[in-house]
Amino acid sequence: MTIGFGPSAQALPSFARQTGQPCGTCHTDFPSLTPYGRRFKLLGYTAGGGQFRTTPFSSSSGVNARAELDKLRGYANAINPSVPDDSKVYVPPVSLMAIVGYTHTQAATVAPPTDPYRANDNVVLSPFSAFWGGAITDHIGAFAQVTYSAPDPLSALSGTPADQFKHTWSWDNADVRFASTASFGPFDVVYGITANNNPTVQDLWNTTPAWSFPYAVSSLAGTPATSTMLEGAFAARVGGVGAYSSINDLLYLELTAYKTLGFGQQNSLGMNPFDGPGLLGNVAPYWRVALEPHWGRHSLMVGTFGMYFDVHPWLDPSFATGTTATQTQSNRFTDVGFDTQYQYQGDNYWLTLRGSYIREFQRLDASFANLAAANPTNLLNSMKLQASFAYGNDNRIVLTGQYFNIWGTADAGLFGTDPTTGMALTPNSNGWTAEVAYIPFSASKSIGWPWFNSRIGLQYTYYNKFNGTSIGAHDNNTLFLHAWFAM
Amino acid sequence: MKRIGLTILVLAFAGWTAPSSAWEDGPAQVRNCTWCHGMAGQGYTVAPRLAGQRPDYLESQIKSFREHTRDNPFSKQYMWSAVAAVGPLEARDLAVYFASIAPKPASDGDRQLAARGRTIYLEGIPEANVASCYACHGPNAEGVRDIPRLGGLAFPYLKMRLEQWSQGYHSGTGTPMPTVARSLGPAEIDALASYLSFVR
Repeated sequence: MTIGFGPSAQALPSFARQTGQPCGTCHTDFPSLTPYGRRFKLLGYTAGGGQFRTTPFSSSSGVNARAELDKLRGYANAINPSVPDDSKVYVPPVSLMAIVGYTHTQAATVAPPTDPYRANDNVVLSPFSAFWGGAITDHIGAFAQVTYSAPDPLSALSGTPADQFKHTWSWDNADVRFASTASFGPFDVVYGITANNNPTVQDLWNTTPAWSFPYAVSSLAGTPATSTMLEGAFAARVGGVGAYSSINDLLYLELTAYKTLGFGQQNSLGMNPFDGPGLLGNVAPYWRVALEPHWGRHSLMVGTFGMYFDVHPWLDPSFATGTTATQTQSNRFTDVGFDTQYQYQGDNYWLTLRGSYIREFQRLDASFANLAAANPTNLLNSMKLQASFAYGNDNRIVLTGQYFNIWGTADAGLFGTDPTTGMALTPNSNGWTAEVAYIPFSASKSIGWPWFNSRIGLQYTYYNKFNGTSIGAHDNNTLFLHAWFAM
Repeated sequence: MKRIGLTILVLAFAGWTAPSSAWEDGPAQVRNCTWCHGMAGQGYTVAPRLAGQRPDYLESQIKSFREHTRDNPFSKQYMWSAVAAVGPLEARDLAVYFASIAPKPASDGDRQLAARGRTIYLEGIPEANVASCYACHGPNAEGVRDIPRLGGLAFPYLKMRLEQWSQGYHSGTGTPMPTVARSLGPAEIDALASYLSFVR
């Protein structure tokens, strides 16, 4: 069984306080973004307009600059500079989030000893997060999160010394951005810099791994053991700085370079280093290109993204020898992704269709040499196809269905062998996830706005195949009823 | 990690000290508008183009949003909140700013309907008691005073607004549009919106 961290998930009341907008302006169903939500992120979480002051720093210099330019333009008698933002109350953009979920799997998947849980039918609070979400200055904003995740059951602990590095509190998604705009002839450009800790956390679309559906998952149910490197293997284990640009609200370009944090740094930030695949030997480049034409109520995105990883696996992930060194040889992974999204805004609904495909080319020099992998090279593929319909301005009901498929090369070293046939197993898993969610306040302001919102979700995941076999795959089918609070 | 921390620190300092040199971005209040209305205020999805619009019209509409007299669904959802903290002086600032930007025509209507739309715009539909648009909005749909520029606005926006006049929604006090536009049928609205989307 693989115990997964619940994904972090965001729709922050601090953004609502900053912008004065209800949640539904940026979210079809949080954290899924509308076109305006994507632009808010693109502009570095700095757009304001709400009843609270946007940043603690004065923006009067910008206003003065405007007045000066306006004088040159001949608007002197029309302009009477005002600085209303400076007269507002400043509330730090801090938010909290909690997800309480009930998990039922078709067969009990929490192995004994199950403490502190039961074998099945558990209610767990996980994750609980605190955020900084909003502007720091007129041009810099941040989305940064610390998270409590419920502990693993005793059976998930291996009994090796490596378990001493497991944590419940950790840093989580972090994305600090600088954004500005410029015009060059016919080109209107938003440009910026992102510093973040999770490849794709900075992305604007919910087709890339960090923000893809399902947005909330059970922390106890089993999930497929294999995923591509881009799908979270280095989440919160890297630091990256990149540049991005959006041209004429049409073409998005980004290039970011990542380096892994060292063993001690990861451990200090609450991440168990041995739960990761190892350390990167070189700077890992990440690229992103997306074309997003929009017309009327329609928007379409077609894009590609990818990353190259040079991974030195841990020499002794059990920590039995007490070393935190990595192997001299490395495994190299080249992930190439393609994604698309179509979104339509009705009078009181959103229709969103999404598709993503990641193909990972693996060159396993280290694992093959150490007999951990049976093949020197492998392929791994991950595909998601999703439709979502969010109906209602308030009392919003969201229906989402997703087909997922992970498939790749059979490898006895990595995935074991079939006990019946003796054949090497594949990483293949596939199935469906369906979810119905209720969001009481989306387009208008709740009683507690802008301090509170919630989402109630009933999610079912059905596996046709799980970790290379269809035998017993249904045992992992999971019902997850959850209440998600943001404040 | 140390390098990232340093980068963040440098960026934070640069952002704190640099706004006066970053005029292209305009003041923060402008960004609060271009967030949804698109780069350079040229419109984005359902948010209409602001660039080149009549400043008096922009100012009057901000006032209408503030006073909740412009009451169609998207106005309620987005604009009532967006202008709640915008004072009269700031509204004037923003109106002048966006009026000064050269507008780009959306050109997204049906070209085959444009000729019919032009006829309606210039001559009205006398048999249906529809007055010509030209009389108030000007020969090139450029608007005057607080009568808006229509030329080059996006087809879906024009179509939606023309439809809303007969659906009981309001724009401001004293506008004749509910009376003028209520006789327009779907075909006339498509033609008119198509024509106007191409007007430069």
